[in-house]
Amino acid sequence: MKDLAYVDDSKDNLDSVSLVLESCFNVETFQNPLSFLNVLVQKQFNAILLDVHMPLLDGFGVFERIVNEPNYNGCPIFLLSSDETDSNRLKSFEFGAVDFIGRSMMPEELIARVESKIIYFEKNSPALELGGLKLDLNNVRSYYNNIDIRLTLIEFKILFHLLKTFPEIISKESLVRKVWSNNSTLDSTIYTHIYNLNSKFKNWKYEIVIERSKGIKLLEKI
Amino acid sequence: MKLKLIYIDDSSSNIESLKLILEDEFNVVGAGDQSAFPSLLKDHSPHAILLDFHMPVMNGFEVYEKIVIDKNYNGCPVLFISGDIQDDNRLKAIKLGGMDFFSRSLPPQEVKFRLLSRIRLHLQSAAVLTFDNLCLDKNTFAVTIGTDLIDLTLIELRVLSFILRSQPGPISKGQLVKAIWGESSVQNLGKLSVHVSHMNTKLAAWKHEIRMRDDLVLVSKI
Repeated sequence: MKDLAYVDDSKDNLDSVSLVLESCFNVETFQNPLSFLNVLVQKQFNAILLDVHMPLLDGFGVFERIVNEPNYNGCPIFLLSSDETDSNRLKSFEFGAVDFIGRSMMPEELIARVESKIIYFEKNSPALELGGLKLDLNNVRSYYNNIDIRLTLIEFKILFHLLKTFPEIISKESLVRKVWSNNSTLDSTIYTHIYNLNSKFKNWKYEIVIERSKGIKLLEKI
Repeated sequence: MKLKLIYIDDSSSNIESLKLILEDEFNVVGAGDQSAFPSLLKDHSPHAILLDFHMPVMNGFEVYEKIVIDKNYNGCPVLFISGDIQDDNRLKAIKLGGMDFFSRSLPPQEVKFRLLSRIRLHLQSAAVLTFDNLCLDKNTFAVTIGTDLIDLTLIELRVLSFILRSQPGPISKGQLVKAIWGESSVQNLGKLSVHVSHMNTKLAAWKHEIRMRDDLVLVSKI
């Protein structure tokens, strides 16, 4: 089940809305926005629901602090209110809320709206991962155990296609076509890139191996 | 840079009024009936499609079914607009996948914000980003203008990907620099201008150009 954070100063609202949400999500409730912000420093959620009207810090204020929190994963944030006036809804969208939930909304619609945005969000940070290595496809970045590893674009593309084909082998011709968009790259060029890649990921438990006449693949080190 | 919206409505006055509401952020391509779809999808790569739900020949869901099987459909969000909304239709629209159902009684600003919010989610997750004749394919990390392949470095690709995913903008320089190098410093701001000027040279055949003005990064038509 997906983890959901729900912040609302009213205990009654917390109870009634979570009752609806709990049929589909793992809900963590917070009556105090500040204690939620403290948790956010070390925990990530799949979606966050914020009540708009809260005495200590209103939903918009919490929203601003969330997006400035380095540990925030970019998950969808919903604003929730019984004040369903145009101005309140508009302000929510202007702030960047992914949706506005009125308290008059039917439970089924509430769940459908939250679910559909979570699904989008998950497609939203496209990444490939294997044994501690991670390729962030939106930002064209590579990490090993969360440490940024600098690659050239060619190296990034080689790794990308090897991870996509893993655990299968990819033929040299097909790799060359995908990475260089030509058929004339020298073997020695390919082997140099592969050698460089292997040295950049020395501690990774996989290495790139070349099988003569068959192709190239990732193999777990013994 | 403006986003592209295909809007099908049998009332041309509805199309004209939406064009006015959205003119700052969108190029609205309007058509009076769904028969125009195959050619519209072929000629335009829209960032969203808006359908009048009640149309004479087919209703919105039936048109939707036709769109998603069209070979030129790019996966962008499809949304419905209607004067009267029944709860079950709205629910069905949302369940069909991250879409929304707008009531004509919504304030115009809210229609705009909701559209932008859906598109923002979509641009993050889309495998292929198309803006007029330029196309960035996250499956191959290839950038093409028309049929020509453009050779970009990894940093340039990162900058372009971030800029395209943030349209219609505006983007602050600081935000972009932070996304590329992790921190915003004077030195990195300088590097950004150099990269952008190289990119504009390489992307000369694109109908747009990346401009830096004051603290902002904008994409504007040449």
